Amino acid sequence: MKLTPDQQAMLDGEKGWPLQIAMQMLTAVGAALDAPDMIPVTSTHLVIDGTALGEAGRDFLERLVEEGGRFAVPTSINAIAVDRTKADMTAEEHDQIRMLEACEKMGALPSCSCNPFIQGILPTFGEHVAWSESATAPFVNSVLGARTNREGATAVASALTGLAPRCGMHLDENRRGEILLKVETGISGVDRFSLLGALAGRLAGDRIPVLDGISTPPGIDEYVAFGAAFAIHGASAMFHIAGITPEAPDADTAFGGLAPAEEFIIDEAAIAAEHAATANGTAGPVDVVSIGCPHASIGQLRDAAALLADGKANGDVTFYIHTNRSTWDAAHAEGVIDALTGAGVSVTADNCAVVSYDRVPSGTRLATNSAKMALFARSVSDAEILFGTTADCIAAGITGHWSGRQQ
Amino acid sequence: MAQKYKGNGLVDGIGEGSALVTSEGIAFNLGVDEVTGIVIETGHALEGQCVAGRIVVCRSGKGSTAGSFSLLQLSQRGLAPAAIVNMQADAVITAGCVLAEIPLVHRLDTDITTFSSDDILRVDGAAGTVEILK
Repeated sequence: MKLTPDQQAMLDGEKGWPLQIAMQMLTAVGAALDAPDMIPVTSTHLVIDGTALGEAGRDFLERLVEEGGRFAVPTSINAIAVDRTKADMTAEEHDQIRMLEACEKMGALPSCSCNPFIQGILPTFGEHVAWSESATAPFVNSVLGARTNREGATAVASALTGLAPRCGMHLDENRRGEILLKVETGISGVDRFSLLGALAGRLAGDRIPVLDGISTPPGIDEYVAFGAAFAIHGASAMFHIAGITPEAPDADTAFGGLAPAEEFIIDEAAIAAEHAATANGTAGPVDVVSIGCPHASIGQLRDAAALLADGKANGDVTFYIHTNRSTWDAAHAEGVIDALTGAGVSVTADNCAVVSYDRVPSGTRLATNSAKMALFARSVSDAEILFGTTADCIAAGITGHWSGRQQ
Repeated sequence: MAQKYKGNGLVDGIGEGSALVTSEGIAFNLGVDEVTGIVIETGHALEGQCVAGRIVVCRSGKGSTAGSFSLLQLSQRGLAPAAIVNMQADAVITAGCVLAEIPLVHRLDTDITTFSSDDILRVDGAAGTVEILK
């Protein structure tokens, strides 16, 4: 790769170990992916989930601090594995807090969310950024028109240097649509956008799909639900919605004038099949209700409080709504947290039912409106999934019985 | 004379050991147990095999981007591969090999199925070469 003298000095260790190890990562990845040089990035978003990084990640982040590492660009933090305000922490949970504190000492904003968008952390059109957490990349690229690859440890390297290898989604030619998904049924609500995202992700694999036939722009909650499910069910970092997302004024433009490599029709039967594939649980009692994957917005918290206004969570059900700290604080100020807590709901901040050391036990019957939560809970906790609308999930939380749509 | 193949070296270092070969990708996060180094992904061609000290020859990385830190965890527990050879390295394995100081080579001038599990290989990350010692 072609490096500037300043970048070469970082790589040679003249500017300390943090910048050296960061440049080693970025130049190796750049070489692997044929990047000609580095490109400046304007923000980064870091996954520091302790269940994934472990002691090795803790030691790495703390060594960066000790050796003078500081983040060169605004840096936000993804969901962590414990609620920061928890009173008695286990050793692992304490490690997670140490990782967060290390990042804060390097200048990170402790946003602790897989959905930083509802906190107002929004890269703008054309910005180059380096964001980890797979669910964020489709939103950043597709909805905002900013540019990121699906980053991992490399996002830490980009935070330290303010640089990323010029490859992948940073380049115009890699942002064109490749397959066409004709949507021939109405989609609204986070649950249906989540199912559509799961299906689109699987059909796309590592290709960029263009969805054609969606006439109403999705809301931010629907986009976030779609993007999270899309990312975890495939390897792509971008989608286009013809006539709606900023790089797709129409399908032809999204394809860069080329013909799609493949076409699929997504009709009501396809969505129903996706629902059946997502939900492996049958009618019966519910153990856990989990709403807020990705983290719930204030609008979703208000909706939940309204649906629970005349009800109370069943005593046999653990009822979670997951959100981030700043949304929790705002909802608390307007009385929504007290209303939900009074109705027997645990409104968690910072973590969620899956990104947590306290994962739901194996075999749990879990009701959710998120295809990402469904996939994760099935694979990590071998949970039985009951999938439906937010209202279906809340009804199940009140009655203790799943009476939403069945597979 | 030992057969030697040339590719692109991505992470410097010398690794020697017996090969563990698959044409599939490997998910080091959640696909490999970080306490034992054993491949645990259900249905994976290497399921049940331990990566520790082996020359892991695979298509690429796959799955969660947390896999880079999983390689670092394995390394700190003495369970890291001795080297990795990819058809096409991805960012997850590449960054992980930098962090864990695991030699990494990709794009060899031969198909990776040239190698068989239990071949004794020597990988030179700086030179970008893989040699079959026996």
